[in-house]
Amino acid sequence: MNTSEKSSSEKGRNKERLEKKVEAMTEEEIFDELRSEQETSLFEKYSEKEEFSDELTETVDRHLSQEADEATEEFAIIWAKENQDRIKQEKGVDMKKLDLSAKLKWCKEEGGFEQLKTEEKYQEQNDEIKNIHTLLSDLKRENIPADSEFLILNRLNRRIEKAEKELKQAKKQGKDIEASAKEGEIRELLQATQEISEKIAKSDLGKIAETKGLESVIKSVGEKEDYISERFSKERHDYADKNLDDELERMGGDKGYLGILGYEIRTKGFLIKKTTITNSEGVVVRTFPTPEGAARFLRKKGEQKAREDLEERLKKEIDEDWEGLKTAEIQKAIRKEVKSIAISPEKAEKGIESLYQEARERLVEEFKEKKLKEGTKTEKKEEKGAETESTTEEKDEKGETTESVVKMMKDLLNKEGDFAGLQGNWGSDGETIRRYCESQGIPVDQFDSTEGKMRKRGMIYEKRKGVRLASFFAELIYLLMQSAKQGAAK
Amino acid sequence: MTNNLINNASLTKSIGEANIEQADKDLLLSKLPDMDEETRISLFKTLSEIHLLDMEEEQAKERVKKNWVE
Repeated sequence: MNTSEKSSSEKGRNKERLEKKVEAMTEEEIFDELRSEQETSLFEKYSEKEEFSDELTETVDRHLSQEADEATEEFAIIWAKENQDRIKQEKGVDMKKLDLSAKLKWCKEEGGFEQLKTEEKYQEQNDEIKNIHTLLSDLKRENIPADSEFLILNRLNRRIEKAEKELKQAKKQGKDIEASAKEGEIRELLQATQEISEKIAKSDLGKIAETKGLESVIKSVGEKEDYISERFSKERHDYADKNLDDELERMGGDKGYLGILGYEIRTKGFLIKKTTITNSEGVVVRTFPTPEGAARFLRKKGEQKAREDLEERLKKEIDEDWEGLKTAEIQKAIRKEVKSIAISPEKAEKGIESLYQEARERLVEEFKEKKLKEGTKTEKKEEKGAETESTTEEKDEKGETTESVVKMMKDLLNKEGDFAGLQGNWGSDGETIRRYCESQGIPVDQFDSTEGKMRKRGMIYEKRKGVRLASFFAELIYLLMQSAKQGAAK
Repeated sequence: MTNNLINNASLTKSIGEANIEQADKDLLLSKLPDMDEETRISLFKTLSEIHLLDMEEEQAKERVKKNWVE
């Protein structure tokens, strides 16, 4: 058996196994297949995977769930107001006096949430709640759709702005605990929006912002070394004088100087106490005829050391101040970048265009890599094939039997041309589609069985509209062509 | 009967209409006359999916426009 025969018989066995597998599928498996088929778009298939980290997913999930709860509560308040007279009359309950959780309970028990789904006047609220839940569900996908990423970023940015207003209010009212909680929430949201923006923009915003932040801090306060040196020379004396007493106390007062300086003291004599001070190596530093002289020396030395320590501390503080200014500028630059994406639907549109362009490029590359290399005739085959093709080509040019993918799908979706009269169910539309295939020369021997297999895979014609209907049709035609080709090969 | 969807004229038209780089279009057009049937079927699938991606993209942009919060 040569390689191509072997490969073709393997393909045949694989196909048989696949068919058996499809037939053996239980209803539950079909449902799972349906669910997975419904959930996978071409973008998900061909775009670079955009999976959020567990931590980011948890943060986004928590904030979007809060958004969903708030939207639901908002609806319950509207519903309660609209139904307060009726409920007072029928049940004797004054809705105005009820708290939010009681209003939610009444809304649920009195069918408010059913009305939300069915009544036109609540469409805005229903759309809002549905949108948030769609984002929550997209968040769990292996590859988050591009539009959902932008919409999540947009919503989180709005939450930051809301939290910033609440923080300002809490600070104004002196509510420290609330303010601190809001600061934490803002930090978390800033981190999350930065991560999402980096995924969308496919760039390290932190790095870009670091350069911008550095430029900005230098522009406003100067280079780090200059800033430290200038402030240090201005502030060192004031700083040391102001903090000297505290520093001396911290160092242990008069008695502590010895330890700090690393000195030891010895006195000799009964009436005249000669006092010697040695360093840590035992070398004599100074000798005094009286202990008082030694004490004065130690105090001076101690203060000198304390001043040196204070000056070191001041330098460190100024250094930290400069770093703090830089961090604040970086944060500002990041926030500016994130905000520019998060508040502009035009930027989101451009971003989506770019991500889809990448997906299309990947699709073409895949064809070039996997199919074009092996599927273009060798020179020898070409001679034989060219004759066959030339007949077809002549007929194409003479008969002008050309059909483009774009036109075919446009007609299908608009129910025009060959697809006029489609009703959306296979029972009535199957024949029209079969006639179209026949008119285009697509073999239809396997027409019913192919549709049946697609149905088992969860590709249900009746459940499809728009893009999904077009993709059903493209898949059907592709499978018909494939099975005809395989049939001919047998 | 010849399959119209994968003949030279139809595939040429579909390549021309595809939302891909001109260099890719030129490459595909140059290779088209030499493509065997199986490759043509795959090309048809690829071109269909490119168009489907265009449609998905429009939907995604519409969804963003519709659900953007101020």
